Amino acid sequence: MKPPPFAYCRPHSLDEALEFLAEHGDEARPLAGGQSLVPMLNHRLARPAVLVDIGAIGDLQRMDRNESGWVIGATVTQRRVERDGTEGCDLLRLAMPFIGHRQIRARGTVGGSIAHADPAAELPAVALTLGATMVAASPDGEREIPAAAFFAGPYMNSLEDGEVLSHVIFPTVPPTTRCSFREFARRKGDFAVAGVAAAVDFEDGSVTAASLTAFAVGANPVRLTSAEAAVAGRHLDEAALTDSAEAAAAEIEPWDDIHGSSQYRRQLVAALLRRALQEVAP
Amino acid sequence: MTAPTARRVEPSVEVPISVTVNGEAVEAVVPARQLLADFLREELRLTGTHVGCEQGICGACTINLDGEPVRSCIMLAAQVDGSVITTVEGLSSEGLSPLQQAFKDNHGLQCGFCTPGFLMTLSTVDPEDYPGEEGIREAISGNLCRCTGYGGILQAVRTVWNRPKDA
Amino acid sequence: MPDTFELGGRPVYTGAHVTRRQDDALLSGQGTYVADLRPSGMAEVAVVRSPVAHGRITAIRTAEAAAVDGVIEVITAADLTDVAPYPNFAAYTQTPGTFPLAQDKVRYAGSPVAVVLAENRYIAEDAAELVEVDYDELPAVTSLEAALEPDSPRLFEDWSNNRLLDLQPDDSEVAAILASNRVLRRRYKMGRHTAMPMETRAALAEVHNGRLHLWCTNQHAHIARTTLSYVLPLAERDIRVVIPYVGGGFGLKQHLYPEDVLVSWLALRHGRPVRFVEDRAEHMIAAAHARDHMIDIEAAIADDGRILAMRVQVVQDLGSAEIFPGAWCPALTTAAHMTGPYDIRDCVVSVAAVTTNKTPGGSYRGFGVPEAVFALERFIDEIADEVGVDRLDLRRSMLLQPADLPYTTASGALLDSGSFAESFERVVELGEHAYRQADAQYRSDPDSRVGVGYAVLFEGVSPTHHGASAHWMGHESCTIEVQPDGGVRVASGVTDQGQGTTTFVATLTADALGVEIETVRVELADSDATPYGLGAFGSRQAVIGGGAILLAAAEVRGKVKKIAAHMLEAPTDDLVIEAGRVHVAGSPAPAVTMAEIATTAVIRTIDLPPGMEPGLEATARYEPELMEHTPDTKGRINANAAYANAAHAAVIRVDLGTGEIEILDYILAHDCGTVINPPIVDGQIWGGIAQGLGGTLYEDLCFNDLGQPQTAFMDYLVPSAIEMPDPVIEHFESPSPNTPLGMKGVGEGGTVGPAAAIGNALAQALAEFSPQIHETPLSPAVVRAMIP
Repeated sequence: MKPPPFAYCRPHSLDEALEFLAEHGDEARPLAGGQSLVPMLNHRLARPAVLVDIGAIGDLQRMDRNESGWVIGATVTQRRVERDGTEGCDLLRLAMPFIGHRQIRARGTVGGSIAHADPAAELPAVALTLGATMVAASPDGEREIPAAAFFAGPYMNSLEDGEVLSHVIFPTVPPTTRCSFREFARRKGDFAVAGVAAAVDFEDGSVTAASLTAFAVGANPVRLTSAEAAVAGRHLDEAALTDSAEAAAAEIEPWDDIHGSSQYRRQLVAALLRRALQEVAP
Repeated sequence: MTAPTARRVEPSVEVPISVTVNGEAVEAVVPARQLLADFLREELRLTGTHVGCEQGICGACTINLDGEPVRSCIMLAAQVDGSVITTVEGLSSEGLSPLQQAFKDNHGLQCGFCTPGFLMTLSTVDPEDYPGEEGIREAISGNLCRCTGYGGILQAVRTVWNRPKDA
Repeated sequence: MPDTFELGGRPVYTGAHVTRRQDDALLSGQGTYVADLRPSGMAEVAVVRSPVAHGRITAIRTAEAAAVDGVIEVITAADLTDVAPYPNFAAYTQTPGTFPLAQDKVRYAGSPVAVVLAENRYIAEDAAELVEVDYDELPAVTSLEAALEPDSPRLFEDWSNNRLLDLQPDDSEVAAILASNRVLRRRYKMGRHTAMPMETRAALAEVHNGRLHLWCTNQHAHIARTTLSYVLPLAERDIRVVIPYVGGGFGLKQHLYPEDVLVSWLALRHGRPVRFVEDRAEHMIAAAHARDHMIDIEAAIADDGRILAMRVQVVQDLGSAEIFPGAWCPALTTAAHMTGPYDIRDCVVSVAAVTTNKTPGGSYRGFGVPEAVFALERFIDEIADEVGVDRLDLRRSMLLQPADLPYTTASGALLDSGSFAESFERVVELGEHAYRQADAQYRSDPDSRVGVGYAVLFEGVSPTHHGASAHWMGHESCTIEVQPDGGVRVASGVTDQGQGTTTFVATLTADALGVEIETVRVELADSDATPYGLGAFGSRQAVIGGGAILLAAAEVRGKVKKIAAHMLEAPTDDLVIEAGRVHVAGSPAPAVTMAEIATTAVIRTIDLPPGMEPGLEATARYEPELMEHTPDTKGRINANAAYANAAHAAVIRVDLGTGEIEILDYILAHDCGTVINPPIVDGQIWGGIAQGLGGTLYEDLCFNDLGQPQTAFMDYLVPSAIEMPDPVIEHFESPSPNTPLGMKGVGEGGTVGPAAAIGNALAQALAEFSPQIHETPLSPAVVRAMIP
């Protein structure tokens, strides 16, 4: 389990990195924290000719809050987000402990996880639930991609050739928005067998807006629009929970693998969503 | 497209690095694809960093990199240019550290293969980030042990973190 | 027991917490494992493995790989013209004829086909990708049921079926009992999992003065040496096997694998050191798998549920069986444990071990016993349900009581001592208490159900090696030498994979000689430096290795006293040895030191008593008298020197939403006879429970219908500290009258019970849904499917 041969560079500016990526085209890959890419190299599942390490680029390490939310540079580590906190963005805080283990979060990056688009990963689900914005940089400038358009299949994103994810904007939510992040993994720190993320607004005990997402149940995280509709305008009483959970189980199309069948994943999503809604209910 | 800067260093299959390991400055030219664990073990002969899975799961290769516990089997040696590393060999300059002693006193190891990884995780993290008995388990959950069932390890951590079990 | 099996005097270290010898080195990164060795000029190998489960090799093209810069040679089976297949001494089995590299056919995905020797592992892996192998694929046999079918494709075409082993004893007596009573039938299965030591396999071969030196992770230095002499064109005297620090064995490293042979052959051929370090991806498919049993029980039941007689069929899935020593013996061990510690006089077991296109099965801690315990203990709970009696009372009505001992089981096992009923009652007391607390805590939670389950068991320890290697033996060896400065060198055939063997050897030696433990140096696992022994398997080393130590020490001690008596002019019988000094009992002075005595024995022999032979050392071998290596005409055999026992209780909470089992309490009462080092015993039990729970709840080696392995390491769920409960461990001590110091083995008691205890707890927790619990693993998906 040794990586195949490749050439490596570690530019200190984003422009330089973009140049290298442009010059080497398909043969090049950006390397952020490497917590997914290096295992893939070790398994020889990835064979780039050139690795462009973007870890030394200062511009990609910003982490600040502006009027639209938290702006998190692509190579900000998950550990830094966990440690420094993201006030006003509760869902991100709730999701962080589920990402691998401390040693993974120490190197793993927010941008890397989102760009990698693992169907079972947590941050893509958070991004989709909150309606985050991905900002792609290329030699032509920057381009904003909404989360709903970013994920393009398992391990696939909608970045164009020559583009690098430079930062992600996670919207902050008002204090009235209540969030829950629920994941079922076989062991703590493993990839999810199934998970749900919820951000729900209430007025007088009734749901005014619900953003519900399931992950690890398909190619990419998926908004549970039927489940959202099932709770719209309602108190989260037993009947609403049941309606929403049943709608979620019906609307997803999960896969089978050695940890569970499609049917099992439907049951999991129903159970997890029910608990998430119980948690956010005022 | 901006013009190449003077600092531009082309991609290469050999990469010069400067790194501090266990307090000593090391200058080396490493193959671009060499894993950090292999650099430590095969070039620096610091074989206390063990390789158990080469995919970032078992934790045996955990080291302290710039104050964080990281898995050296899923990092490239080329990535540590400018960093400060501590391996198990650098945990104590004389005798055993209190953490190492606690492992010994509480039968916290059997085959010892996973032990350096546990020691490096525990010597790097802040116990205050891991409150209570559950915190101890959380702190070591990224390190797998196949011999002990964790009983002696948990007791060693309770001892060295001054956290009695039923407190 | 002869009184030579005694400690010399009052034990100082035996029974105490003696800290372990290797810990300072291991804790500071100084323990040297095979992968840490790198002699100058070393080359490394990568193995080309079959991607298909079953196929005929039609062509292998190595030229492109051989041309890679840094590649030294690429070899295939055709190059190994002077290598012999692994032998098979078991006349009652069919022979797989295992060869280190696949010849003509591959029989599992992962089978070694070619080897690249290169300057380092990176280059070797680059070149291995360039070796092209053409296969004519054949239909794969991927389950034991399929292997049993008469028209199943055969793995070995010269066999008439896929049954490597097929023992069908005369069952007429049991059949008669079944015919005249109520009969209950059940089928149980235990899934495929494995040891998964944190250190993978590794081997480093060097040639010194024409002799092969193999450093490897094997559990037996001498058996490895002997086996290499069978396979390689080398005399045994020209082979040295050394086992340095090993990162866990658990049985998986009992086997002498193809790579051990291949690096040896390449080192001899090229005259340079050759190292193989298995990577984890290889380990998943090429190191021994285990369990994978199916057990059918038919039992005649009395009105009160008691088992009157049993007819059992055990089938073990061996995978391709291309492994040495062969791996059918777990099935025989299952058979020997089918009655448990119950008074079931009539039990007949047929045993089949079948080949499938999967990774070869092999040894793993528990070795057939978890399978038997799971089947029998689940069966007893199911009888209780069926008949309508209390499951605990049903056990009580059959459990062996102190007055029943010694007791010979239907399979021939001699249970000479034990605390079967007592340990069970203690666990029931603690288990019921814990269950009541759990029930009170979760009764109002609609998403939770709680249950408690029990298992009570005996476990053969210190077995014959016959079943594994077909060598007819079970002995262990020890040499003790007192050197002129009074220091002691002890060398033994036992080995240390981390279980503390080195420490117990020092402990027993120090106490048996009456010296301070710091003066004892232990040499193990070097075939040049230690007398022939069998090493680590079957929880045997304390019992058998300990016996050899005590025998050697008794001889040395006798001579020490004779010399001291001569020097002190006192009667030998009046002397005692304490802390390395010999004096008359009750009067500490005058005394002579071990250094003075050894100096006299070795380098001032003029001071020896007249006629005494110089020297102060002894070599002894211990083969337990009552251990049998071959069965009698009715198939009965006392295959072990001793039998440990244990009772387990698991209190669980089932999450009805996810199917997850949470272990709230785990209670184990264990009896391994006399305890040498309490923390080490506890550590063995904790670790054993972790592996037992892993196999029950988390670990599963899956294959698809094509025989493709489906479980990568990230899916092979070794429990972490978060999954592991905090067990309550209670000790009973029933010394065996037939073993040295009354010791029994401790290595496996924790591993063999969890499947049964958890299965029974789950049955209780989900009783309202009438779940069918007949298989492990009990993954959340499996459990969730039991819930409407």
